[in-house]
Amino acid sequence: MAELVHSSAGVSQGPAPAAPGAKKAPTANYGILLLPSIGTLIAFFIVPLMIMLGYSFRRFDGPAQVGPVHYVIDNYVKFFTDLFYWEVLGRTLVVAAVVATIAVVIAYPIAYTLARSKSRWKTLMVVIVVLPLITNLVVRNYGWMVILSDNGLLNTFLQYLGLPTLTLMFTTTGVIVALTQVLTPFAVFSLFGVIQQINPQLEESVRGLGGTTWHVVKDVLIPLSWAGILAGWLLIFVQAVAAFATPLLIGGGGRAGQLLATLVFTDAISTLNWPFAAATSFIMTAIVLMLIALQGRMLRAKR
Amino acid sequence: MAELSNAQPSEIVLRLAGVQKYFGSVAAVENVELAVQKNQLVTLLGPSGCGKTTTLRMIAGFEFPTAGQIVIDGKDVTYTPPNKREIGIVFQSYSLFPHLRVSDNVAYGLKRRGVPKEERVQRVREALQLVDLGQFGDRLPNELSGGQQQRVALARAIVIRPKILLLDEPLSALDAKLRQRMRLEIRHLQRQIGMTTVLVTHDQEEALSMSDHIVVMNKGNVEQEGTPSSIYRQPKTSFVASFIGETNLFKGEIVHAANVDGLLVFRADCGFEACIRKADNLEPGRQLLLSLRPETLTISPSQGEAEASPNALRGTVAGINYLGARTVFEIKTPTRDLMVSVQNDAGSEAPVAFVEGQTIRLSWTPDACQIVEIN
Amino acid sequence: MQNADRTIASPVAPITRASRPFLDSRHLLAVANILVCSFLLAPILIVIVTSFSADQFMQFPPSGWSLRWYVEFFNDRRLMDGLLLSLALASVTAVVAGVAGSLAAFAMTRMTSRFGGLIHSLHTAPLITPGVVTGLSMLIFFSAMGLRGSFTALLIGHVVLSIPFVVIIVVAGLQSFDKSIEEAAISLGASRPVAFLTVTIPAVKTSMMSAAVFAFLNSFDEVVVTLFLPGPRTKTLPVAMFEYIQHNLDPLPAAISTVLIAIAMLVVFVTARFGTIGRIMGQRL
Repeated sequence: MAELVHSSAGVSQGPAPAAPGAKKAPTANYGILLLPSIGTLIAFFIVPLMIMLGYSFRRFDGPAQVGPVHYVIDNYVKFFTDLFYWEVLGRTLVVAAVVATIAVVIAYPIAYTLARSKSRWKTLMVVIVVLPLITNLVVRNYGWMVILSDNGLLNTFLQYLGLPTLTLMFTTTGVIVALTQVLTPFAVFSLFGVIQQINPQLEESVRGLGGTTWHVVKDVLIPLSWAGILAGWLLIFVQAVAAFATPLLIGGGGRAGQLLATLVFTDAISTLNWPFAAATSFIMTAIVLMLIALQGRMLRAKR
Repeated sequence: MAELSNAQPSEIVLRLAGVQKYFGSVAAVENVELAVQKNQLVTLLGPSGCGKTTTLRMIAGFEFPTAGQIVIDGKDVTYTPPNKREIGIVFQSYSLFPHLRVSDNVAYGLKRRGVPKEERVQRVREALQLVDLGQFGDRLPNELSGGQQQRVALARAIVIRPKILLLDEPLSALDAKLRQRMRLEIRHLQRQIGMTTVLVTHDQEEALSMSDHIVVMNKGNVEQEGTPSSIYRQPKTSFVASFIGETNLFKGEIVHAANVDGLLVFRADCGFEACIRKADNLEPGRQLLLSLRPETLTISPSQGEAEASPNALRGTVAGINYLGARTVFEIKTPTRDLMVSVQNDAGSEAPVAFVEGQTIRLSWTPDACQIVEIN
Repeated sequence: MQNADRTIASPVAPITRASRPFLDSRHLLAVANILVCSFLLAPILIVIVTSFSADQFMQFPPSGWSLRWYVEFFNDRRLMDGLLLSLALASVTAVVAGVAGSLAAFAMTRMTSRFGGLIHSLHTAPLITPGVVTGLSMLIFFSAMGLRGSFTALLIGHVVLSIPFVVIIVVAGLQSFDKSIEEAAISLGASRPVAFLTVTIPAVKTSMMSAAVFAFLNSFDEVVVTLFLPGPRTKTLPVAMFEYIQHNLDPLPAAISTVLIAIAMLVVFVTARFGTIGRIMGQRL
């Protein structure tokens, strides 16, 4: 049996035993082609991450300094015992969940239109959806500052209408608005793929059988695009958890700006407490990875 | 059909009056008049792009006409959305809800109509039994074969007891053998439960075998309508003559009266001549088309006894296509090639009595000659 | 028979005519689309409009129009230095990441190794790792190396972040390349390396070009990791602008933004001409 498996594997790999070197040589060459990128990534991506992992288990010993190599879990204990960090964690998760939910909801009509319509407006819509992705992060946030600030466009408009003005800059609401705009395109792409695979005649079947638009959405679109909804939601949630420039610029230095990622940045650049910053980023990464694993499980359960 | 409408003026369930549909400046349907009588199966037949599917979609309510009126059961439904029309529709791709079990698929329309649970279960069971799928209620659609899925789609459409059943190329996704069986089954079912049905197809065989009434469409217009046999035997336009079945079509004119009483001589531009029956509207000099169906021509050995026929000529066998039940010969004549279809004799040892290159005699009766107006 | 056929065309008499519905779900969908598109477009349009303001301070709508903020931008020494730094950094990144990533892509599509999955994961990991995590790890690493705040550190960081894009785009290009063409060249007498150079490379040249362009754009727009590597030599234009808008609210950043948008649009237009933008977008998700 083992013999059999072995020989069949040999056949499937191609060259006859007479020329064992013929297969080996090109593979070795390909290995050389990989060296520059693998070398760069290991030396400057993996190794720094490992060092940082080590830092997260070391003591803070003055700005940008770490104590001697005594591996301790002080930093993680500090995070989970201080109510302040629980609050930041909670705010981060709530903001990310709200952003992901709004983004998926408002992306749905756009994705549906892109998947179904043959209208000449379609190209324009694609451009509008792609534009936030190719626009510089700082530019997008600046645009929102112009709109949301106390004397900004929105409040000018509200005043013009005789309505009370809103404080949105340096608030969580402002952060949510700006993040949603930045991340909605990802939801559009992830929904577009699944909606396109739904047979349009299923929607007509619902109508033909007496269903309304609401039934089309509830009985066909949502159940059959569930995988895309979930994937899009998670993709945005993960990016919102890791988002850093938007909370910093729109949320400011107050509570609204205090999310996990901005906390890492402040610790890294201002207080220079690198061990704690490292621990915080690994907690953040762990949350993200757990959610991705959960999604995989949910999709498998669905099948 | 003629008897039927003469005996008792049948109730008209569906009527289209002057229906047009433009997509931008492109006319998908230019002008369609249609009346469908109760319990009849009416087929919209035509090549792709002739407007038949658009017409069906307007009947269903998925498209609204640019002009004209659609009436179902005496009510103007021209702009009624599909969910308020009481129609059942079966699509080419079946369109079963992939995430719902077969019985839930069938129950869907009943749920939308608020049919109480017990009645729903009962009607779903009956409908599934009707299409011979009583055991399959718990399956998911992708666990069924194509033919079974088709029957589920049919059950889902008829269980709501629609005023009209619409079938949009329902058999084109099936293989040839299954398609033939499903034709019989659908026809049988439609008769059994007495369901007014509109079928859309590009398959003329399907149309001929299933319909009470055929509407041949071309370029957004109705070319001709009538019973299957009238459409086949008396095509009114060259399009109908060539689209329905195979035919030998000649362009030419009436030249003079024949020496036999009651007959006229038609001469085609290629020189081919035939005697045809006299009729009021056939005066010499008129440009006309002549259609000769392959099966109306008779082949006999050239040296054999020739029976007296006004239409006969010599030819040679240029090609033989043996098709099992019949054989189609290509016959070379002095004027042009003709197609001849001969029913094969079941008892005969040799499938084909003629060989290629053989000289033969072709004959046909004046009644076989169909005159078609040039339009 | 004939009569029966004709009765069909008889006029429709006493039925009340229906009228076309005024609103249906299609209109609702159109309204939703317009609203969402406006939301997506709003901050970008506002920035472009504001950049032509003549006002001293941020206000909307501007009381007058001028190009003064563009003049200010082009006369600002620090910002101009930032722009030049960004362009230089992006160009070098595009070349380095383009070459290293393309080589890796060739190897990855050709060799069958049981480490294939691992190698692929390594090459896409920087893309999915949160920016602050990568940034902090590089800050710690380059500080230890004594390279903190140097151009070298910045370049290495940007190359690491750009390699995934290059690999994804070139792998996609190579996968759509029919390998039998290369085999045909070999059957016609070319050696494997010659076939590779004369047939394969020219065939995927456009993928490699657009990969390099994408690496350029990625580096040019990068702020997150760059902010973690602060120093006098690492103030790229986006970072300079980031710091500027935290303290000032005048229309100068709008002019910078409009220039950045124009550069991005130009680059994307070029990439779209190579026909790979759809593939990039698809893969990026």
